[in-house]
Amino acid sequence: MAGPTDITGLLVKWSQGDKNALAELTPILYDELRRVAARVVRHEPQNLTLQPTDLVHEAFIRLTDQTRLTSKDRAHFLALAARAMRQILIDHWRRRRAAKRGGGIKISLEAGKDVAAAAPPEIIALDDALRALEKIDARKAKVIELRYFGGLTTAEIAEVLGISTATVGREIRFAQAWLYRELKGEREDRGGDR
Amino acid sequence: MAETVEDRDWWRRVEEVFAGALDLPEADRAAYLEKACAGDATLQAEVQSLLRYETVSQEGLDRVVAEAAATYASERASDNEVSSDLGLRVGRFQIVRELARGGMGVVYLGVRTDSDYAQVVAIKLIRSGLRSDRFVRRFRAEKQFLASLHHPNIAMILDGGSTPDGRPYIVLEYIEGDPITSYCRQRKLDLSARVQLMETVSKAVGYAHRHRVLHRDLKPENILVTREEVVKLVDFGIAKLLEPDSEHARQTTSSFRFLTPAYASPEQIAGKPVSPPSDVYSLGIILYEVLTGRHPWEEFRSTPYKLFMEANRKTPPPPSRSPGGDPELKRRIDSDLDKVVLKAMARDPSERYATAQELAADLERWRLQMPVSVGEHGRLSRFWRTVRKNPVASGAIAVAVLLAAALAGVIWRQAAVERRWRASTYPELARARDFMAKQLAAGGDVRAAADSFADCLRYLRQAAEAGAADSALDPLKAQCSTGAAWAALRQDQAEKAAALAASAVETARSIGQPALLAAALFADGDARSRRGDVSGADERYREACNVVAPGMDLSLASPTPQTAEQWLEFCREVPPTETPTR
Repeated sequence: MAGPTDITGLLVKWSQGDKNALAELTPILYDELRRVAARVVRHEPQNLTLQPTDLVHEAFIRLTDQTRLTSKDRAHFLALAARAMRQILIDHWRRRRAAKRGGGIKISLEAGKDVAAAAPPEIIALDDALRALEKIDARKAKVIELRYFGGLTTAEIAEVLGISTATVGREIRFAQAWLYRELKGEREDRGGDR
Repeated sequence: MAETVEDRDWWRRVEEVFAGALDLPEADRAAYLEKACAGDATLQAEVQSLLRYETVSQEGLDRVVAEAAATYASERASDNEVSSDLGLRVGRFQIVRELARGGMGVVYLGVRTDSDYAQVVAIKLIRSGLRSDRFVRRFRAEKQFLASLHHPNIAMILDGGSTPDGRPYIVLEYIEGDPITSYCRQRKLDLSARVQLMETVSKAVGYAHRHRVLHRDLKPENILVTREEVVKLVDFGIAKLLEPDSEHARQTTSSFRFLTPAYASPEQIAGKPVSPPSDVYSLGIILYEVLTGRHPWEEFRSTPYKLFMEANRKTPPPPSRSPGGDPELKRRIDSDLDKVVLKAMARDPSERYATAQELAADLERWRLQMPVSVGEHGRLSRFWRTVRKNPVASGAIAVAVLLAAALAGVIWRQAAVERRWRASTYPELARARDFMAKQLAAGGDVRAAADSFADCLRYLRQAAEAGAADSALDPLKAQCSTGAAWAALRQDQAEKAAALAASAVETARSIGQPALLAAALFADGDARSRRGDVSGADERYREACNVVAPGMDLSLASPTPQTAEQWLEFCREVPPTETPTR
């Protein structure tokens, strides 16, 4: 199992431009996020408003030796984790759907836990909207990912993307509004059909 | 959408106007929009719409992701059946449910999807810092070695590769079993059964070594015992696939990653090259734990660093004096077995058994009451080894030597052997005897068999003369006498057979083991019959049938299983005698 030293070393190497380090880091991060998710809820079963960003920060603390990292390293780690977190949440729902359809295997589920009973989740709609936004304005989509799935501060986002904090603030507010409108699907609100 | 210059311009204008409006208090926005849009009603409507959503969007989006995260997390925690890897396809297989979680990753139950027959497999998704492309390359390189391992006690590796999200995986034969340590504990196996299990394990590891595959991560969790008491070693050679690249190992100190500290050899921990003795070391630690019920450094298991220090500094107390551990088991561990275990787990690789096969051989010798290679009596051990290496020695002679050596050992180390003797060596001896009997039955070298029984009796006599024999040796005496009688009959030496059988009957009577007595009586009956003493033979057969209870297992006492069947059948036809014979 990878200890803090490994990850920290990989992070440092990655932020120094070693692409191999990223390839090694990613699976570890995915796995840690999955484990943290399970752990957090086991400890706080009543917590129904778990922020994914909490998971990301928890993973960060568990995986790295923070004394060896600069704030830049930290921001880059969180950016990576934001991507992973988004992917994990989306994959989860997509796989549930696949499992529900059968896919050649039968899975016994306890009564009341049937995935077919669950409503189509808004997170999928959000992901679709984010993908649409990516096509129009990739930087805005990235800003949202960092903010909502990684919990990066405005300053950290600015650091990662190499833009000013003022720009980050503007991008967030516009993208939030645009996405939320997409999510709610009230397109008739939009002027014209552009 | 933003595919054309026109679209991009439009998008930028919306952004600009939107940003301008945000800078103003809400009361001033309407006027601003009128002015900024300069009559472009579409633009104005678009920005107004976005502004309406802006006020609630942050809260709304937070809620969406928080709900998704909470649902995801609670399902991860409460329902492993719906883990995120469920339904995932890896190569020709699909993940069905989770089996176990460990430091190396998660193990899932999987099924084969590209075929009609249902092949159930174990799929290991590995949590590793290893790049998946490197893993796949290595797996391909190692595959032929791993695939060459065909052994009933080694689980097959079926496939390997990497998942879409870049995690290495390995597909293995699915084994339903318990780790050897829990298996022994749950079934309360006695010492001899435990030694035998570890002997099987060591032989399997020896087999892999001969095929140039090291395990590198032997631990109880990788040694499973099925309900049918079949030992299966899993994860053979996998540790090598997962080793960090050498240059990385230095930089990231990640070479620890796939070690199981409690069972890894000192050279592995030091990052030095591994060799067969490294596996032997792990076997030694496991052996210690299996025999005593306690890991040699149990108190340090949760603190790997201390464990390394301890393993590097101190030799643990011999298993028989292990602090803690099962007293019942420890009482029966003698100094020979102590030495075998300590030799296997020696810190210096050159002081260990060179191969797992050698360890297996010593365990077998111990089980069969023979002097072990590390025992106090080097002379005997050397003798034994010479004989074993001598290809001229027929099987029967080998067994004769086995018995002879065991008995010589008895004479010199009576106390130790006696303890073992009482731990029901009868079945073991019967196996040796079966071997000789098989030689007899298969028309093998009768003379060699006869000689071996004669040797057995000679050593027993010597033991008696040395004052080292007692009643504990009587079953052996009865068996060897009976065996010698059978051999003599085969050689048409009726007189000799009769004398031997009579002695066997006398000894067997004193022990009170019906099966042994019955065998001796049948031999005596046969000898009398051969000499023409029909009524004497009849008397012996009847007495034998009186001793034999219906359904009694005679297989251990008869020259062949067929003979046992014949006896039982014979006795069913013989009416029971009213007055029991002496």
